[in-house]
Amino acid sequence: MADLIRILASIFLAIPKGLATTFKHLFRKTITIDYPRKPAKFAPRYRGLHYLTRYPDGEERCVACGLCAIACPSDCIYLEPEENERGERVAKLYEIDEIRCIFCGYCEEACPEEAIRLGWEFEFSQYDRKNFVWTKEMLLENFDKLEKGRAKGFIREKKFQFRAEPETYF
Amino acid sequence: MDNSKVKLTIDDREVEVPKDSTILEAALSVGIDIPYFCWHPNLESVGACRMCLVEVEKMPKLVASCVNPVAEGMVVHTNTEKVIKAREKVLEFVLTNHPLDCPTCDKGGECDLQDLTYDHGPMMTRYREDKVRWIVDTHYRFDDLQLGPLIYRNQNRCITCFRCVRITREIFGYSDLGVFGRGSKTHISAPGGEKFLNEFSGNTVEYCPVGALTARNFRYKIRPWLCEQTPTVCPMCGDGCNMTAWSHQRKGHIRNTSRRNDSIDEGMLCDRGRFGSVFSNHPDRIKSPMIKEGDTFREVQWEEALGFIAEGIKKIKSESGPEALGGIASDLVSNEEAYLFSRLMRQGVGTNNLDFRGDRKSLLGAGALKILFEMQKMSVPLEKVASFDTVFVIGTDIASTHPIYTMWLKRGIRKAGLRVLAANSRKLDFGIYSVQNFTYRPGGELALLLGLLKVIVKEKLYSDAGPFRGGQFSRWANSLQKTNYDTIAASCGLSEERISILARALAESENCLFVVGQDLWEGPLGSSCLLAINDLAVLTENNGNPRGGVNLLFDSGNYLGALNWGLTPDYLPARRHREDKVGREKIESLWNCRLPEAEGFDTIKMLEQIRKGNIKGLYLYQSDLLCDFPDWEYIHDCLSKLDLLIVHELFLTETAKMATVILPATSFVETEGTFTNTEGRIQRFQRGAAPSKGVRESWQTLSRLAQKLGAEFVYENPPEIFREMVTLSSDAAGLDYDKLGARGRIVALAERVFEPALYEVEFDSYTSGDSDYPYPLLTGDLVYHLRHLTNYNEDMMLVAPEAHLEISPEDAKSLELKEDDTVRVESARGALEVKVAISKKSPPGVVFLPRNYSDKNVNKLRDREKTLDYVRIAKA
Ligand code: SF4
Ligand code: SF4
Ligand code: SF4
Ligand code: SF4
Ligand code: FES
Repeated sequence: MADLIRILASIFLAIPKGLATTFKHLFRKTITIDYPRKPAKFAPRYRGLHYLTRYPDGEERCVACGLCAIACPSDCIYLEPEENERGERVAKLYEIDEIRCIFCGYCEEACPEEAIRLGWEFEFSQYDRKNFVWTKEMLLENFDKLEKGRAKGFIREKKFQFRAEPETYF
Repeated sequence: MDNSKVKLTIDDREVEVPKDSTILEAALSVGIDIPYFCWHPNLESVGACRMCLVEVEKMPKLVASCVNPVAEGMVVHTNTEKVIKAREKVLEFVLTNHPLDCPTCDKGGECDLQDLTYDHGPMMTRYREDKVRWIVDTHYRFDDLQLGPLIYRNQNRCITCFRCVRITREIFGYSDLGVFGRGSKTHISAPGGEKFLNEFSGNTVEYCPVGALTARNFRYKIRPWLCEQTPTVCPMCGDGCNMTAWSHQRKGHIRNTSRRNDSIDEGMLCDRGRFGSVFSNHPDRIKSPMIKEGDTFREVQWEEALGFIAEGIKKIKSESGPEALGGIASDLVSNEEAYLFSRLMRQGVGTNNLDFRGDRKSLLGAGALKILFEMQKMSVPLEKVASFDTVFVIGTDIASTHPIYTMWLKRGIRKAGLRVLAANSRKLDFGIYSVQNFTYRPGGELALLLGLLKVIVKEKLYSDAGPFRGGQFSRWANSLQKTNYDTIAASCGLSEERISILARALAESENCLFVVGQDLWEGPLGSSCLLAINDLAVLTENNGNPRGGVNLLFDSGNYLGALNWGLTPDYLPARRHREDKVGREKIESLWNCRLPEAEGFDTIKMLEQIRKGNIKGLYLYQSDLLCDFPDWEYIHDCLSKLDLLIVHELFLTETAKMATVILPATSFVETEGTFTNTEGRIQRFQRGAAPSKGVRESWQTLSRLAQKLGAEFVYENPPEIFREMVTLSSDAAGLDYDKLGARGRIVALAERVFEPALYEVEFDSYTSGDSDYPYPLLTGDLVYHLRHLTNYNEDMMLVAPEAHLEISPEDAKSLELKEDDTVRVESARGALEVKVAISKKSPPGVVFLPRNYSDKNVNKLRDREKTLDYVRIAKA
């Protein structure tokens, strides 16, 4: 009998206990953000959509060495080198299949030229799988967009990086 | 040579090696690894890089193992702390001025410096100064200088091992690459601002241990680790060098490297093979079957095209019988495809009108082929060539037609004092190695052979053995005397004295090899020349003698294979004569059919029949007849007379444009099979790249077509064809496709003593040109081209982009021509405008025009009825 009472008591007492926790959280600061109405914030080393960087004079940094492609564990980078008019090695094709990418950042780490970087863009869902292949032009454009943001002062310098990080841009 | 052995200890292991080997060779022979840069098995050691340092007990300092010979009782350590430290320091030195631009270097991934630094090198450099940088003043190729059309040099990366210079000079005998400057200014360059260009230049790229020399065809192409490597065999000449084909999933076949076969190529390739055989990706490749409609071609499905062909063949067969059809294949198809084509024509179509030779004015008939087969059985393997003391090369510019054969001759000259005597209508040039040239007039080869026989008989330079006694012999010897030396000299252009010198040299040599060019035995007097050479070889005691021999040269990848596997009208597969009962029955029971009885026609006779309207349908299998046949007008006329012209080709050639139906074929990298090289060695090549979408492998096409024609033969793959065909041959029987091995197998070599044929030489006295057309015109392949095939290769078209008329300096002077002047070359048939190249290879009064260019087709000047073509030259 005593047992039964104890069980019943624990059931009924648990309800206000639980509700107390809930109420406590009602008055705490929220962690979730009101996405997409408010911009999301990221850790500085977040790894999102790739971009290909340029030198200050606009030259592409990538020399099409292929190290990113061989470092990539999911084998999603394809590139072909070519010779530009000055006899330098540049990429003719540079494609990343973002749907296969696991955003591990190995490509970034392998790159001897700091050419391929992972950015902060994550809103790139597509209706067709084919559209997930980012070409060299698109990757360079990602960088150009980033630069524009930087010029407008959206982007604060990033500590670990050679250049900058976005705070509010994406 | 001293064969005695010495014993030494390397890393606590007892090693026994020949006395004259070096420590490095001794270590490598037992699998002890010593790192090296400058040593190469084919080259003399120079000790330039110091990478191979080892410790030898009782020696005060570390020694370079590649230059130090072994000695009895030597104790060597390759792995002590001292050695390891020394290696690290050597690498640190090498790397002080090395740019470490691996990301942009084409050698990255297959670089000895990368590998050795990874294994033995320092983790860090301590060198903080500026590196010496060679900047090429043109700024065009960044830091790279184009040494020649095919080779780029980046001096920053060079580690001055001098392998490139030594290969070029020692192995190939050219001095167009040298070392200049000293210290940090040492550089590799072509002397005097000349171009680095010879037919073996690609080897320097392969054996440069770093990326200092790179090849144009691999420049910034793709990383080596992304490529698939397939063992294959070069089809570009009869030597059959072993190659590795590199192909990439998206880009297809990209390049070739050597696949060392010590019996054939010793790890070297010529540029025609290395660069020129990369043509599978050319945009002119035929990608789908096509049927002609009006003036254009309509792409169709395979079944429709094959159905169309089968209908066409059946129609002609029912109207005019199977003799109204014929087939011409090529000497570049594999043994399996040759066999299959023979089966298709004989069983499926039912005709013996079958050939594969499309570039000659006269062809060897069945009788002459029999002699050829007998002589071919006596051929000497390539690796033995260098061990002769005299080689007599006749009737070919061997340096252009068989580059790697030439490498062996040069090796013989360098190492063993081999004497090369060359009789040809153009001079041979072996670079720094010497050749004694006996240049005869075009068409004078038989006269020369007669002259040689005469001298040998007159001066009794033969031994007195069995075959040279008795009445028949003396009758023959007398018959030789009918012709006097004046007639001979007038015909061949060589004086009695010169002929005697040559004859004595041949007769007095210890062991002499006769190397007989295809131009000689496929020329107008081919079979006579073969018999005369046979007699000459027997008389000078060479043929059949284990110390001597005769080598017939076959100029293209699978000429011998095509002969062996039934692509001539009279010989069924496995060299079975059409009238040989046993062989015939064997084939009939295997094929389960009746073979056609009627005599077949060879190419020349087929064309005559086409002209007469008797042959109405022709199947051209990889044969570019319109470009190759030595009479353009005639062949054009013949081909346009046909009702049905089936062209089964790689490229949309001029011939293909005349076709009724076109079928796409597959090249040697897109299929598998075997080739037979000039020694008779059967070698296997594998599939390196998938054929482009919609293209069927040729063997599939051939057997599917046969099925449509009612001949039931189905094969799974080329090995199955191989297994079937070898059962027919007594020589090749028992060969196992899977066990052909890395070196291939030579079949049908016989140790039979050759009988003298006692051939009574007769020749027409020399016909000279008339005053209208004074210059005899010679033609042939350039060293960079093979017929028209290499027109589809960028590199070869860059090296030799257009036809040049080669004339002698004397003629150039008398005609007041300079290099690169444009001239009009005119024959009774037509005219061409080409540029002039002054060449020492041409003797005075003789001109040469390559046959490799479809835009300047030399065959437009040629007349099939004349044994020699004559032209006149005028400044344009
Ligand atoms: S992030 Fe990782 S998976 Fe994505 S491309 Fe780079 S290496 Fe490949
Ligand atoms: S992105 Fe970097 S690692 Fe990738 S190819 Fe370009 S330079 Fe090389
Ligand atoms: S170019 Fe290459 S092969 Fe020639 S010396 Fe330099 S490193 Fe050696
Ligand atoms: S020598 Fe002949 S077989 Fe060898 S690579 Fe050259 S063309 Fe090919
Ligand atoms: S390999 Fe011995 S010094 Fe270069």
